[in-house]
Amino acid sequence: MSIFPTSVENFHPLDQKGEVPGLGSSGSSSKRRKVRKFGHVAFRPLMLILILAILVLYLHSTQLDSIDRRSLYWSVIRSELIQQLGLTLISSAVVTVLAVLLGILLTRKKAPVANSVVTALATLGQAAPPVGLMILAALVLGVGARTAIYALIIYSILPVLRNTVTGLNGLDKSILEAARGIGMRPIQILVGVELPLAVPVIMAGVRTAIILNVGTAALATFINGGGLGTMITTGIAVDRTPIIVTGSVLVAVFALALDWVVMVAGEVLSPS
Amino acid sequence: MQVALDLSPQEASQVDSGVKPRRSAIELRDVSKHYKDAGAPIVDKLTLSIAEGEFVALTGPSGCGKTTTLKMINRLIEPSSGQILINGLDVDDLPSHRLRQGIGYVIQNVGLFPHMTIAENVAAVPRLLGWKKDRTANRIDELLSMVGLEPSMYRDRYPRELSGGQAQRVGVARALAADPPILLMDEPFAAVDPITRTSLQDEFLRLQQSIRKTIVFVTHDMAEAMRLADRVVIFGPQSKIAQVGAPTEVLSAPADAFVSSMLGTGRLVQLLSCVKLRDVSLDPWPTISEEMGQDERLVALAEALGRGKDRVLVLDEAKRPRYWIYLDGNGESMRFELDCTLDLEVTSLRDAITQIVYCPHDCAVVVDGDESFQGVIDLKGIRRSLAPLAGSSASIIGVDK
Repeated sequence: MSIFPTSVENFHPLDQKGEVPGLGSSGSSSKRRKVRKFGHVAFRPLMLILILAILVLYLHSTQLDSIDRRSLYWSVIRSELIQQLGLTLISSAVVTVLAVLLGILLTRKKAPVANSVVTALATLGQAAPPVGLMILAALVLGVGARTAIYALIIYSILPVLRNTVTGLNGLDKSILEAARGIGMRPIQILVGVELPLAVPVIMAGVRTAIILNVGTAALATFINGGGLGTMITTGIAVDRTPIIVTGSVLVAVFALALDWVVMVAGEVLSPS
Repeated sequence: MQVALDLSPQEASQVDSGVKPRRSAIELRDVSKHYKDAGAPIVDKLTLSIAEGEFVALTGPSGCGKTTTLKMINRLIEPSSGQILINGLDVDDLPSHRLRQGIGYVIQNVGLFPHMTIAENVAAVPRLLGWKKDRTANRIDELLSMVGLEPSMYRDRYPRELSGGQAQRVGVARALAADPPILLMDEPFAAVDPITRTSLQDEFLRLQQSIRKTIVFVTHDMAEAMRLADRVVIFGPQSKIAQVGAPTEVLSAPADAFVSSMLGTGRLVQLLSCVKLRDVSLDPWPTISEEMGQDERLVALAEALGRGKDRVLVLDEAKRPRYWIYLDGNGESMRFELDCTLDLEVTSLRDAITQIVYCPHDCAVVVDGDESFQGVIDLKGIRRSLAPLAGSSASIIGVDK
């Protein structure tokens, strides 16, 4: 369970390319940067493939009994992977829509009070231990994947919300004044100028949320929500190391792979 | 002898005079702006009429309300009271975004959209207006060449690849995209280095000669206001207007101590830069045609000596000055090359003084655009011209109490 972040700050992927656009970045030595960027992008999948290969070699070199095999059938792993992916993507998608909308509302002119209240609430959701949150949610809403998704949403809304607010508030004011001055309507400014420019910062927040969710989704098994956590809990219950190792490695590899996909998507989507 | 400083009709359309020689493009009537928390209004009952094609600079110290005034014209700031008319129509009659689409707007930090190419930036307003693609594309190229950026080179670049001066050129092009009759400019040249600023100002003046927009220009830099504008509005303390007038008017007769202090010690130099040779009277000088023979030259020289001039200017058949002739010790005429000639339309008094000081003949020959002889000017003549401008030259040069 080592992939769980202890705090958002330690895990904040803003450092990747989180500079606020519109503040003027120098465009020099783009060729060298491209090469470095390629190395940066290609390294992760190669590493993950290597880890998976080592896992396969380990399983092949180990005597597996029927109990082990029952948990390690591809069909079992696949369904748990799909559950894990479902938990993560659904909760992250809802969080993204919810938090970006909320962030937009909070950055409109007349919302400084609402801003602090909502941010405080979101911080509370973030600060609660995820296991506790999961179980509390189950006590109120009953067990199951749906409840797990609610818990994930509460848990991961803060980074997206905060980054949306930061991204929108951090825009160069003269750009917005120019947009208003040439006769763009507020909605045109939002869609045509503010959001495109804030995408890199918002995407950094989404990425954080996805990472939080892909890790925390492993806890959904405690409230009967499925996911890769099931393999780990099963492994512990039947006291089989191969199952525990496989589950743990898969959770980690899956999280890192998803993080990579989001990172690449962010690079592609952000303004050049 | 009299300085030709009669106010042109546009300059005479003073704040409160009922006479309006040209249709006023922008009219502010008793416009005020209060902010709730602040005690005094930032703009207090401002009435101002700006003629079509006029270049008006709003200037004054920080916080005097000049920018607020500008932004009330395109309703980026809503006035608390009063009325603003553009071409006779109340600005409140249009939705604010429609109003702004019809008014060019240029700001100090340019505010180009960093995620769009130069072409997309310039096309921002045409896109809002729903222009066809090829019309927009033609307009972009036209505008980029107009502001001195080669379209094929700059069209597809991004704003971050431009220097400050280039970015502001694009800013001006964007403001002019839909050919609005009015241009509002808020300290547009303040963020670039002094050398770039001067060349941008020159180019912009040249551009304005051909496009003839109604321009309202905010600047805290008095010299810039004097250099560019047809008329200058100086905001004083307590949001009152301290003085309105043509640059030469303001420079030669500041309304009060505040305006004098705003103008600073460089006032004389600024005034000299504002007044061109065409605005002052030139002195005559004896001339003779190039075809005349030696005897006639001697006669002309003798006549000149009788009038206290020791030399005669020789002109060719098109009345272009060729050279001086003197009488030498042996009673023969002697030729001297022409040293400095000044252009009637272009040369300012300031440049004329510099030329005369370095000129061995203590007076300079003035020609018009066709290089034909118009007269001469010397330091005495310049002083004489300044006297009616300044009331007394002492009040310009020193002691502004």
